[in-house]
Amino acid sequence: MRTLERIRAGQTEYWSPRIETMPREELADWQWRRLRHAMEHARRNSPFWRERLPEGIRSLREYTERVPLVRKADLMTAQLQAPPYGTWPSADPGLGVRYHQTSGTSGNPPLRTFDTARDWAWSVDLFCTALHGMGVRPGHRGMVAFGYSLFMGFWAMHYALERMGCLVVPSGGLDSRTRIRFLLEHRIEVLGCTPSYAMRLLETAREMGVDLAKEGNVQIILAGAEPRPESTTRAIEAGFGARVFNAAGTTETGIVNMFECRSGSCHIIERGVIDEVLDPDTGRPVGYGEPGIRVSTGLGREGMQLFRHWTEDLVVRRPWHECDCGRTWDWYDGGILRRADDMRKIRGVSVTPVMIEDVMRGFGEVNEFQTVLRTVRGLDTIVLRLEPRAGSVADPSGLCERVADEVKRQIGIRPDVELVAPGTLPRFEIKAARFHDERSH
Amino acid sequence: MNVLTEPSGTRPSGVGPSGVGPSGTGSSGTGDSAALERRLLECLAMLRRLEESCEVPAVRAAVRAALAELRAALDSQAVDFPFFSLPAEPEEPRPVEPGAAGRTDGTATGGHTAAYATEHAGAA
Repeated sequence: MRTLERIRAGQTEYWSPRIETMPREELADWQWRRLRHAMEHARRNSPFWRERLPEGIRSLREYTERVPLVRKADLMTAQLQAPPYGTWPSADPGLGVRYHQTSGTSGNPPLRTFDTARDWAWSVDLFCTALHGMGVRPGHRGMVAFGYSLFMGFWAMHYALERMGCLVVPSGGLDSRTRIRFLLEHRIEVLGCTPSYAMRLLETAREMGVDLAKEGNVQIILAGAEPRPESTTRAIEAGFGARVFNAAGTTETGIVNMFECRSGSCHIIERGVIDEVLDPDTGRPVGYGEPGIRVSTGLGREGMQLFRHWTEDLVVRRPWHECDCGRTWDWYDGGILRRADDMRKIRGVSVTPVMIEDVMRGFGEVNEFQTVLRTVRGLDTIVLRLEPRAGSVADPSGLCERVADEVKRQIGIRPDVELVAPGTLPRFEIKAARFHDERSH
Repeated sequence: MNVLTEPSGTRPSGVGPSGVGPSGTGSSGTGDSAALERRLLECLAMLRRLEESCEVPAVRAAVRAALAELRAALDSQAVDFPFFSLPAEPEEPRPVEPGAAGRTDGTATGGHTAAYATEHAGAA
């Protein structure tokens, strides 16, 4: 009989033991062979890449020296030449079976991508690598809490859970209260969502009088698609009574390309990407332990390939052997630390959304917050808008003072703090936008 | 040190998987890996033959889906095989089965051969 125990029997710690534990030199050789093949495919089939990929590259080192970096703006320009996909694709878009696009924030047009059936099968398999590494196993019950729309984010997680033999609740059309009920009724063990939305679920559960840590059954939370401070991770873990794992990917590469193992290291999925870390100012490679910008090359997508993509993600790379999980894949200390293009200078002080969020998570009576940068009487000013939990603040002006003091202490600038009524500020399912720069310059 | 192109040390003693991996003797040890790789490649060849010879839409769709999944499995085992299945040389677009490439004009484009389009289509 085909039982769950039999399906689970003999499963190792690794989804693909051979390539996850391959000796480093062998892995580099394999990556180079795959990259060479990928470049050949691109040069033959994509006008965009034909212009950018020189012929006769003989090594990985030469690849990093001769191939120019590609930025999102370059891809956008290529797409605008012949919308929707332009000169970028390396396969006939008629072979596509899935469509996705970026959020198109700031009024810019979105970046549009498609996946062939082979691309998608490969992408889902990479997501299985991540989920298996977090401890997900056949028979687990999962819920993916996002909108199931154009955003690529968690689509692959849904299919990966199916592929691994898990039950998955497609909660796209459900509101937060209904999702909470499903978590409880179906004894959901695996949850996928953004950190912001995990916090939103906790807030909703509190409103419903539900203690998810006591009444729920969630054990593994994949909280990805956003940088977050450690304090947010801890708050989610405490609220759900579950382990939170980090993961990241990009619509541009079309895959999840980093995941946190059970030893707590955010491994690069080096089967799917070759990552470089470059100094944001000089563009030169930085060593292990030094912060830099992640530059990714995709190794498996055939429809929309990517070579040396400047991601804007700030990371600190660590060598594989500093993690005891046994994988020979390098890892990023703390995952994606922040977006380089998110940093703002306020009176000479660097401020990022993650820094503000880290402070705010220390105030349990604050449900939601928003940061606005304004010019007030010619001076750059941080305005913090706080939404307190209903009935939790007896002394509103005291809360404002304490928050202002703490921001000053941790970041170095005293903000103007305003309280707003509960339910006033927006909530987010994907890509939280709590940081607004309204300055004129 | 260039962290991308230079080895980054060796596994310290006590670190790493037991029974799997580079020096393990479990299911992914070298001998078993070679056997698994051979069987996967045999499956690939068989499925490709089946796909080429079968005209039943339901079967072809299932075989193409299986080919896409098998390709991912081969990749997971770091098998060297024609992962991108390049056409031998760019050719003039040739007629393909209506709908085979998801197009309505019956042609493959972008320099792809009809065989390439057929292999990639409809596997989801």
